[in-house]
Amino acid sequence: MSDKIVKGINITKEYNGVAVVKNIDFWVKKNQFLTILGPSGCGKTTTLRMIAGFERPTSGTIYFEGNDITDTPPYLRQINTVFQKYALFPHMNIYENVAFGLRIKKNSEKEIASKVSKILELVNLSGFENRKINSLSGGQQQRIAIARALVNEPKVLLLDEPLGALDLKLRKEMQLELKNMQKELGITFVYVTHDQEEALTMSDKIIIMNHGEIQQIGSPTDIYNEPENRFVADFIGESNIYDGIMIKDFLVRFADLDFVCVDSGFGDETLVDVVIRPEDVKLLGPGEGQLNGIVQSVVFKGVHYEMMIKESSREWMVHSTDKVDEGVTVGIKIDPDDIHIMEKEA
Amino acid sequence: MVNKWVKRLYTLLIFTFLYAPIVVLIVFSFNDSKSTARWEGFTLDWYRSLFQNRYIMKSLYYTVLVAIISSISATAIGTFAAFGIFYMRTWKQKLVLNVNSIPLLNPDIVTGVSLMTLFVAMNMELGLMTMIIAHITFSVPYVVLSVLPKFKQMPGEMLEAAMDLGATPWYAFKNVILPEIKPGIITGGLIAFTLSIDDFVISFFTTGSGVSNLSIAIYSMARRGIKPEINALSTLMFASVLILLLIINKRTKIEDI
Repeated sequence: MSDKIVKGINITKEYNGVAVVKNIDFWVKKNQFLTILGPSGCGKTTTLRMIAGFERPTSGTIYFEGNDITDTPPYLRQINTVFQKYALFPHMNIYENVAFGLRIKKNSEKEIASKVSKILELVNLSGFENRKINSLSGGQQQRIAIARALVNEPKVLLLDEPLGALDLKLRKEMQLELKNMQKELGITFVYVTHDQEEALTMSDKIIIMNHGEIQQIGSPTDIYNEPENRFVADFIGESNIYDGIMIKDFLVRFADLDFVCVDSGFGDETLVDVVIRPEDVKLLGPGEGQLNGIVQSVVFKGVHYEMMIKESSREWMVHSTDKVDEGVTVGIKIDPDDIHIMEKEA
Repeated sequence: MVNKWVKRLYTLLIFTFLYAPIVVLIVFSFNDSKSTARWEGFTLDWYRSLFQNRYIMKSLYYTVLVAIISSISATAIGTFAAFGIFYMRTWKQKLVLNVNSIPLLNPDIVTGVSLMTLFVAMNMELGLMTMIIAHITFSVPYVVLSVLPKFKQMPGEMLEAAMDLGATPWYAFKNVILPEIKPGIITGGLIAFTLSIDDFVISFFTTGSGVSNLSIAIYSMARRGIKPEINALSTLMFASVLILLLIINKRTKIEDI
């Protein structure tokens, strides 16, 4: 398939007999913004390092534009990396840092000068050519790291938690800038992060990993709205997750009640996990919903209030712009298309 | 008040104890008499005769030759060793570092005798070559210890970043790693050079007839009685080692800043 620029088949990576990545398959389409998302230690960075060529898979094959590159050293891959801690060269000034890759590729001085100035303009650091690395702020160093990689016009750019060290405001700005750069330059991005919000904001496709295994692959909306298992539902945003039984197609029993839902094909009398997003729970007057509960706590979160509601032995997290005071009894209403059913893990 | 004077006196005593022999040596190297007990006026004769003594000049030549060859080789070997050790896994790194520091603590006489035994067992003729090898051997651990911290101070992932940008491992080492660790390499080289000039015990056991460095020359001359020339020669050696040490210290201080 020609539109799959990077492809990994049956990739396993072990350190001293311990598998960090367990037999995963993945692919990246040309010009796609792919994010590998997961908690620390899930194998996401190891996967990225195998694509870059810093680690060799214990077993499995990595393809680049259809060619096997599993044993190709990093310096022969048309892939560049933006490192988490920037990894800029401290003894070189900004110009020499950015020009590093171009010099190796034997560009003429004139070409190098024009490419460097163009890329510095792209990252908004024109005029910084002669500055020293340690005279720059963290955000500026990150931009130089991005420029140093992009100036080589890689076919794929790998980014390993590149915004991890920046403060929240700067991180938000950089998220947008990175997304714009990716669109403008038409380069495939593979982005690694543990920040689910970052992943949802920027990606075309997300791979969610945990314990070295892929949990789900899909678009941000798919992953948010249709989590495939408890881990994904829990990891992406806030969720209420309850044990349930699929009575039959389009009917699920949980919280001691039968609910009409939009899911089918699980088989009758199957044990399932039921996911309900806090913003999908509607609060009404007592007795007006399917269930009744008492408000336990109210926390103002800026855009909305986060309320914990006790109903029978269960707790419900509810996000709403309307505040309900503590101790008040409310009715809880859930619409059929807000109920997400997931098969229980074995 | 009293306390302060006691402290000063104590310090003075210690320094007198430490440096009196060297001061006496230096003073009598300028003494216009064969006597090593009575001052009879200033002269530079002993220095003059030193430079006319063919045996001493030959020893000086060997000393400098051995110091240059052994310090350059030890610096190269030690630098690459540090490079390898830095990229090892933790427990292997600890093991190799411990193995590396054993020769530092080993008595010189043991190192000397064991090297001699090894050379003899290998049927190597003791001489210039064996002395150079011995000097390289005892200098390498010092170079490793002076270069390794520079690797550790290096920002992480630099080698990978360079290779990622298309650099072969050798190009990356030359253009990215080397400039970062250069201060450590130069300091290591200077230490190796100083140690080589300084060494007596190991050289004594690993060299053969006709090849002696200055320390050995002084020793064999002293056996035939202390001559003022020996004082002059020792003074010159002390001065050159002192200068080298001052340079090394100054470098380390600048690096710390």
